[in-house]
Amino acid sequence: MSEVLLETNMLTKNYGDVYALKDFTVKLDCNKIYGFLGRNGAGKTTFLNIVSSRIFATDGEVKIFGQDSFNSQEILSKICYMPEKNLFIGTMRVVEILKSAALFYNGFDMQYAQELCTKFGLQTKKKYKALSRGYESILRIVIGLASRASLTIFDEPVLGLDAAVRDMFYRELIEDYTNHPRSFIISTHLIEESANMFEEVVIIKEGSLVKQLPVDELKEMARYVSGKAASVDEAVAGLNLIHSETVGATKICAIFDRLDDEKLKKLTRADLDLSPIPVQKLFIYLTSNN
Amino acid sequence: MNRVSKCLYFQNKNMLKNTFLYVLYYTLAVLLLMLLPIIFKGLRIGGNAYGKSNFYLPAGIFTFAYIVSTYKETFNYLLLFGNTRKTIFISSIVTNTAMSLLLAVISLISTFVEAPIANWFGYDSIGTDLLDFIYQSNSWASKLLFIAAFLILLAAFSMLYGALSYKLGKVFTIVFWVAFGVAFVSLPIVAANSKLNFIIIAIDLFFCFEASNGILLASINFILLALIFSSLTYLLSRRQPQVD
Repeated sequence: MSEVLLETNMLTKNYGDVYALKDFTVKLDCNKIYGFLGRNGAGKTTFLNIVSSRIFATDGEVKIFGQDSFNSQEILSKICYMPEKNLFIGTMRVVEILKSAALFYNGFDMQYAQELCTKFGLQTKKKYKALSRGYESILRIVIGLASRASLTIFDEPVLGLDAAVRDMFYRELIEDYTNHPRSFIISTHLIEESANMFEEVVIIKEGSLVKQLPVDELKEMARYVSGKAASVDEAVAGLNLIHSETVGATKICAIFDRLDDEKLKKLTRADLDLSPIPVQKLFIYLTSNN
Repeated sequence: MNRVSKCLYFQNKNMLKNTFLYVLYYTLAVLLLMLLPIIFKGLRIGGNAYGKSNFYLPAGIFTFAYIVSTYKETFNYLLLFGNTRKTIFISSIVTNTAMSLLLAVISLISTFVEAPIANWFGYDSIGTDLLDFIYQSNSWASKLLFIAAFLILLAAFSMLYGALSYKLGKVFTIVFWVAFGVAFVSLPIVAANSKLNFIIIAIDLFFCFEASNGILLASINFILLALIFSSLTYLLSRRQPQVD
């Protein structure tokens, strides 16, 4: 059984009548890459800010490595949180920021950080305030990866990056994770391209947990069933239907269910077409209000 | 190195760099002002007099400006790298105290060196040190203690200002400066009004203008008030959510 990385119990954060998180309970294991998915305002950043003690929960508890993380220096020293927001000092040069990261993270690999800067084309002599949005993200990526912290959290790490650089990041993360296994939590909106990187996904909607599943299982559970409306209705009866639409005489249903042999047999009929649902589409169905 | 030492290293490095630059620019500005009448001889109006600079007053302004302007970015930056509010608070207090002591020593040195330098430029150093004017019979040690305590108080106040400004945002800044302006303008009126002269008496008691060891007693008052300000800052910052 793997060691528990993070455990929350009935975590709640509200601003007056507005609930950013509501009774959010989740349990994450060590040495995995978790994807935190949710629509804008779902509560992802609030959750990550509470985990890293940037803000405080209104109610509930958070335990990281089995300890209460609230303002604990021991726990916070093990977490490297690279938020979406700009919190670096604008007048500092990139190299100075890297040096202070090396000062605060015992495992920080400066040589690796320099290699990453070269690879991503980040000029270390530049001042932070002179960096473009993309290079700001790259600096966060460099620090997050080179910190080698027990838990690294990236909130929207690929903002402002082009497709080629995003791909480089995904590859680099997987390679570094393989060489130095540790825990990652990554919150992103670019679900389709980053899904392969995650081992598990946590889907949040309106401050509550919708699903927490390994990516493979998530993909297995999600299927489109299409065919004549009557046949489709008959086949999907009793299954967890998350979306349906009718185009002419053809009906397409999206199901999200654990398919045992019996259920699968019911669906694999000559008059029905069974196909996988892209992760992005599945996410939309699961988080849609309709 | 523990986390407090790491934060101290980071904060002290920035503080020393900025303090050094401030002292350097200030000294260069003073030297330039001394040189101007020599370069442009016609500007030498009113003889060769050169007054005392009382460096601790501009040092106080620098202390306030530096701490207030760096409070937010330093807090956010150190929080980003996994430091607790307590760690940040302790390192900030130590750094600001170190800056106050450093500036106090520089202020004291400046009182000794500015007269010979002024003389070397051909000026007659005149005027009285403000402290000698306010308090009688001061040794250099009591002056150093007073200046250090004064700057420590200013640093503690600046941290409290920074913490309140971080928590309340622009509302606090506007209210504070309006209140400060009103107080500044109304103080002479208050002084003239016998019904409100308790404020003047309180100021007099705090600064111990009348006491024989006034400079030492005032220093103790400064330290005590600095402790109160620092405690308030800690209470404000220990559960302070991060503001972007």
